Amino acid sequence: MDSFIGVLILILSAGFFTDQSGRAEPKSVVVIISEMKFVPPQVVIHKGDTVIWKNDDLVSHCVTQSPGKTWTSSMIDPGKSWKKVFNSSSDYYCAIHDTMKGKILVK
Amino acid sequence: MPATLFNIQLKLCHGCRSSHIEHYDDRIVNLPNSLTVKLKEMKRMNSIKQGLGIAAALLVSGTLFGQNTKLTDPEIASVAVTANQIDINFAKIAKEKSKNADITQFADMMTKDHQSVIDQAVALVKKLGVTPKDNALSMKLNSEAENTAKTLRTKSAADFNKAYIDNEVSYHKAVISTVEGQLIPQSQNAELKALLQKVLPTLKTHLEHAQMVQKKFMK
Repeated sequence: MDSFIGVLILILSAGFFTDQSGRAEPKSVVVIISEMKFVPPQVVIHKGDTVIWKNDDLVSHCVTQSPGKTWTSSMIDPGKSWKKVFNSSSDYYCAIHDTMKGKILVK
Repeated sequence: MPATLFNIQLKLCHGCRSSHIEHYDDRIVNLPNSLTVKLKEMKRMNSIKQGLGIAAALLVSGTLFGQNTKLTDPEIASVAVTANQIDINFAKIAKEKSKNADITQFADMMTKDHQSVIDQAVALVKKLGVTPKDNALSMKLNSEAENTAKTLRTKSAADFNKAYIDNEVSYHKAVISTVEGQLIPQSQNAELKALLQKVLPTLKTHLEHAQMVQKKFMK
């Protein structure tokens, strides 16, 4: 009986956390902006996942695709956040402080 | 009679070295190539000396007070706000005098970042119920900054960009040295100390950026 309930929970859980194609539900990953760095500098996500940048630094930053600037955040002031859904990999940097760089890898 | 390097060096000893080098540099079209090269090198060295002169007082301020003056937290808060405001003022001059994209973008960054640090420092002192207190170091910084600002304002458009970015490199080195060597070790309040520690990466990024821009004006 216990094993039956266990299998049932497993099946229900799988149905709850995956869509019809069998992929995991989209998730959110947080990148902290602190001390003039993106932490972590590289995140690995699945297609459709969301990356949230949270600015814990003293100064404003932005997040801009590199090298083409095909997308960019508005200014992210201290204490504020910005998020974006990713379907493909992307390099990015802070256009205000261009030594700050990061990478999104979509598996 | 053709000019010689010896003649020119004598001239340099009688007055303003800078103006004479500029003067002769404009008249070297008939000089041998070897002498032209030497003169240009002398002019370049003189320009470096001028840049160092602007910053020297600021560097001295960092070392003079580094060992002997004990600051209280209200005095440290005053120095922190003053040091940030000074660089905003330098940036304002740059925005007025320069049309170079590297310089104006750097100046924009200085304005935004240092204002942001001031805002957070002011918010912290309000929270702590501390009133920033003027002191010998903050007054000395202000006094020297006024002199530097005057010097920058007198620069020609051609000379301003290099003078500004040279000063930014020296100024950030001096401020980093003061924050690391004096303000952080002497601050008593943990939140004030943490704020100062958090400022350091910003200052170091500014220095790195200023040094990158400086290289473009060394040619």
